[in-house]
Amino acid sequence: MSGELVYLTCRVNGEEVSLHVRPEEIFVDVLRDRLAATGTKVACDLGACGACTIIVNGNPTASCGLFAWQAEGADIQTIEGLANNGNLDPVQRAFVENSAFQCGYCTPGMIMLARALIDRDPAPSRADIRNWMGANICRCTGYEMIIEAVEKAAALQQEACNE
Amino acid sequence: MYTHATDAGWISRSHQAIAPFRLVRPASIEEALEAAAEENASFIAGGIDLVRRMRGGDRWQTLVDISGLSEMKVTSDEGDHLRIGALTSHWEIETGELIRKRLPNLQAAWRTIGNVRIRMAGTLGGNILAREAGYDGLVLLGVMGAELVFVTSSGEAVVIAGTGAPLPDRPALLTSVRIPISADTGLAFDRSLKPVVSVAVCKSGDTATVGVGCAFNSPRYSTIRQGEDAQSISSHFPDAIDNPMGGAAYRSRMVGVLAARMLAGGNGL
Amino acid sequence: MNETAPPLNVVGEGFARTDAVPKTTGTATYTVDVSFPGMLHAKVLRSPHAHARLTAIDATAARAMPGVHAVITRDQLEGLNPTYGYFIKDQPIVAIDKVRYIGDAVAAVAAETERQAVEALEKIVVEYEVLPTVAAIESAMADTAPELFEEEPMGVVPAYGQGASGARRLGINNCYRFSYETGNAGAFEGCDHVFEDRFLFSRDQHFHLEPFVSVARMEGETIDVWSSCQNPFPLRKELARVFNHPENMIRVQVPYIGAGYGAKNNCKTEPIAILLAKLSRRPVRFCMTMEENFLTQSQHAAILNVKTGVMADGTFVARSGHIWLDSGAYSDASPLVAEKAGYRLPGPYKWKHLDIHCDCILTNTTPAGPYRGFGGTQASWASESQIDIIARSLGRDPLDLRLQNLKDLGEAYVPGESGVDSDLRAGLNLVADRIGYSDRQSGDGRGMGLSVGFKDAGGVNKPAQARIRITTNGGIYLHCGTVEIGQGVQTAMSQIVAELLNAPLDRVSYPALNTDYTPFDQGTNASSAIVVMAMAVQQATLKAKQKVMEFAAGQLDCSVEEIELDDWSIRKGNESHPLPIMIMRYYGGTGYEFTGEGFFKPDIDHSAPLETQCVSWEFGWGAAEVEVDRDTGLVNLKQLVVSGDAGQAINPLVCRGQDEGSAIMGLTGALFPCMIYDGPILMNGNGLDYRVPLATDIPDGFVSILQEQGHGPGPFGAKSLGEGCMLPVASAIANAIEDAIGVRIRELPLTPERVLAAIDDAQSP
Repeated sequence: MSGELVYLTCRVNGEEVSLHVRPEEIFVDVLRDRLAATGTKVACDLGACGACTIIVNGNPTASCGLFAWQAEGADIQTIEGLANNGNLDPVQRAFVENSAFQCGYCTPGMIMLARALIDRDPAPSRADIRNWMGANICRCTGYEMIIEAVEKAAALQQEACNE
Repeated sequence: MYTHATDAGWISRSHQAIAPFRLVRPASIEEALEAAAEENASFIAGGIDLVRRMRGGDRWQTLVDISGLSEMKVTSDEGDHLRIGALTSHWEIETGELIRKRLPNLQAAWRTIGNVRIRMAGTLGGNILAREAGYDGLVLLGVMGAELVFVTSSGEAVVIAGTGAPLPDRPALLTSVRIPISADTGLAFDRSLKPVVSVAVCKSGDTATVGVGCAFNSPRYSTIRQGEDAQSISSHFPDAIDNPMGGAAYRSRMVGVLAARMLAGGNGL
Repeated sequence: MNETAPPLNVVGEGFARTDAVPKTTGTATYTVDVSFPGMLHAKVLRSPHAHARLTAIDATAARAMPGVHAVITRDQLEGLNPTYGYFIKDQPIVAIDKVRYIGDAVAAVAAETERQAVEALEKIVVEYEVLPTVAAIESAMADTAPELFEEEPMGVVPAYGQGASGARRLGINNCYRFSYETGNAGAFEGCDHVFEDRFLFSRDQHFHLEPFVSVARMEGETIDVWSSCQNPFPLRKELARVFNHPENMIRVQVPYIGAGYGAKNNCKTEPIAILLAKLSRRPVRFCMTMEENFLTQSQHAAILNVKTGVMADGTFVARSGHIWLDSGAYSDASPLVAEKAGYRLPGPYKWKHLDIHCDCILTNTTPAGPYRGFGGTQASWASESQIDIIARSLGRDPLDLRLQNLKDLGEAYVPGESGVDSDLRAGLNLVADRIGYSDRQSGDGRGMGLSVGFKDAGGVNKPAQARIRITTNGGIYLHCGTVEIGQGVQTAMSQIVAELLNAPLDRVSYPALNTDYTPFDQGTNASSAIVVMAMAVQQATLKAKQKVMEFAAGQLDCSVEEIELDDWSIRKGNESHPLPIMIMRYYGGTGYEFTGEGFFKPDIDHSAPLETQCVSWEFGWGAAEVEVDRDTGLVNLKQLVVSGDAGQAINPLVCRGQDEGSAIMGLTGALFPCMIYDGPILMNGNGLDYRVPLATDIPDGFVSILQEQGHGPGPFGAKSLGEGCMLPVASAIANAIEDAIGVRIRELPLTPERVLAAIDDAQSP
């Protein structure tokens, strides 16, 4: 009863990607197994913890719960696409400077979640950050250093814009 | 979340073991209904719950992707009702301008659903049809007396939420929900005790409808009239789920406590 | 040298972690990312019964399924020592005669895809003879309870020192007992008041986000296994025994670990992956789902009976206690946890008499094992709750009563032990002041509580080795067996090395662990790295430095005392001599590496109860403020103030992360549902239904305060940190609840339903 392959075209980190996928193929496996982009991690595999968060058309999305064909025509960003020629994105910089991670397994998802927030709202309040970041689980940090890093990331980005 | 594969034991699958299926991407509601008429077919929109179920071992021969049906994404003002397309995401509900104007209390209540990822991917229709005990969309719509509008091969079928009326036979596609504007002013919602119990109340005149989520396998509703002891609403409901996550007595008592609080607040009878 | 210590350049600075860029760019490699051509995927068939005899198993049909390369049932265990465990070797690779919990491994398949493996597992036919089950401590101890093990599994009781002892099989399903006694049992008779309380402790699951995972392959006859594992050397030893395989032909490699919190010790996925790899001669990846994590390891639920005798003036005199740990279906690390739960029950107070037993009770549930806090969490919950009970009964302020009875800095914990290495009163006053304890308004639904979390740290009789290599151009490699599991050890150790070599931090590398060339370590546990491994690292670094200095002095024809190491040059008076030139002049243009070896181990000491004195003592001072909803029982945490003592923080940012992370982990056991069993059935064992704290669950009033009291035994005065702040959280909250509503709750977690039931009980006549 195997379904026919589906042709998928999307943009991943700015590059056009075209490939045939099985209907049941999940997008995180396209990233990890076919595009060798293993920065995105799977943890709960139920869309609950957010370790696999990527940005799909601006929305933070659990890539473990997304069929590959659902990404048709989408603009996708993953952790691999943030740094530009070795220059870290403001969110990455803030996470580095504030030690807003420990084991690092949730970190790519957390960073993408934060990136999506700042893309929408360049100056989120602390309460906005707490609410938004409440989507993803970090079992290591207790979250405060993550929330502070997201505040800092927004500030770093503002600074960069003002220069 | 587990499959009971055989009598031999449990196998915990990852998403990599999802069973193959045929994908159909219809261009219209008619095509969607036609595709869904096949044996063992399901609609898929956001896909959150469907992927989880398939990961757990549920199989479908055909998935009908309705996410491209733009007519199901429209919110329209129909005077005494607001019609919200079934493909409207939770995020669109909580940020929609028209909804903010016409159903501000529903919009505020809807913000408590899930988290930002779920709210952006999940749809109104998916929340209603997933029939997960912990999903509260139907609790809210039920107390408001919203109309669930289905399209079937024999035409439109309307089910009033909260009445316990059966859903139309398959294939039927939930295309929109019509919500009475008048119900919004009396609406209040408390999820502070989730996943043990959640309670919505909707006051209209000297009557209030109380909806209960989480405590039963599907939402339950009852009404209470002015002058009645609001806490006694607990006795209107059947025995709640009784398990180590939450005892029946506690769940039942909390229905009364939370309902009475909401009614004593801004929504007092 | 008796001069005052030179100012620190690298130690004490909040540098960006040395793993920061890999972890924030997605380039850090974890075991889940390890892949080989032709790699197969392993899946496991798990028992649907909590307790059953395995009467027949037939995998013939599974072997014939497409894509299948190997199948394991008990028939494939022939020739192996097929059971593993810490003190007691009772857990089989796959079920042999019985299954003992829902989720117990019965069979395994390696196939080209996961789906093929699942489809093959579905063809396996198993006959079970279902047996009666025991799903909780008390029913498992009953005279009529069915035994999980009818015969005694192979195992040992280790040697203990003064006052401590261990025993096996003292009762039905009792797999281990640890006991400790000191002083005169008659001490209770002289007490003015004796308090007896029974406390129940919840059962959390680690919820590490990287699952249990390993990739195994045969390289010739060498077993090469990549594993997300926090004690690779003991694992290698255990695998050598299980597989009758030479230790030098087993290679364990550990890349970055997506956390463990104690769970990733000893055999988890490795035996199945290795056996499948041996059978298939292909690389095999065994990656569990999060649901399977829940069926593999948990924290210990516990019952704790505590009896405490005090004088009318509040002086503590005697404590006896009996703890029963729910060990789940296999002993795993339960005997070790029992040692620590029992040993830690007294808390850091002055006692004349102690008499404590801790029993490990097997039940038909997920095996319980190491979990951050390691018995200290259970002990602190009971001990610190009871101190408030005593204070209130005596009409004393709980803060005041603690200050009266806490150990002094340097005072031995018990006879034969080392002295506590923090000023306990200073720490307690700090959190009390910060939360506003003395000005609090108690009652009316709002209140505050305090607690002193306590554990010994540094492990028991723990040896550690380290090796330093310095290249021609000054590149420094630190080889040590402490794995980077999130705690920041790579950064902290590198800062120590950089400080000692007067080098910038970015010259230090911390290669991932490979048992073929990394020096031995007992494991990444017990908050031991900074007081045990760091001592070995310090020694290795100083030895390597000494070689550099002697070489340079020889080249410059002077004494070592006349020169200084300045970055990677030698300063002699006002001359600077770059080392690379000197090295190549002597060793040739291809260069050279200087090396240094380091070793540390506490001495064996029979007067110490655990045979070595504890290296360090770890504290977490906690203060909580709550608001309790009397109608629903909902506890609203308004403030949570925690503090740990780093002695000297090597990196304050890393320390802060450890304190805050552990406090919020402690919050799980306090206020979240934890593992909910309906009989032997786990109801919420998946990532969707299991609730761990989210950013939105953390109160705005959550604060951690890092103390650096300077008394630690590690390099630069550092001491253990990272588990302490989870210990006081539950009891501080329960104490705050009593302060708020006058109701004492002795059972965790403090769910609304339980709190409301306690309120009802207090109101009923």
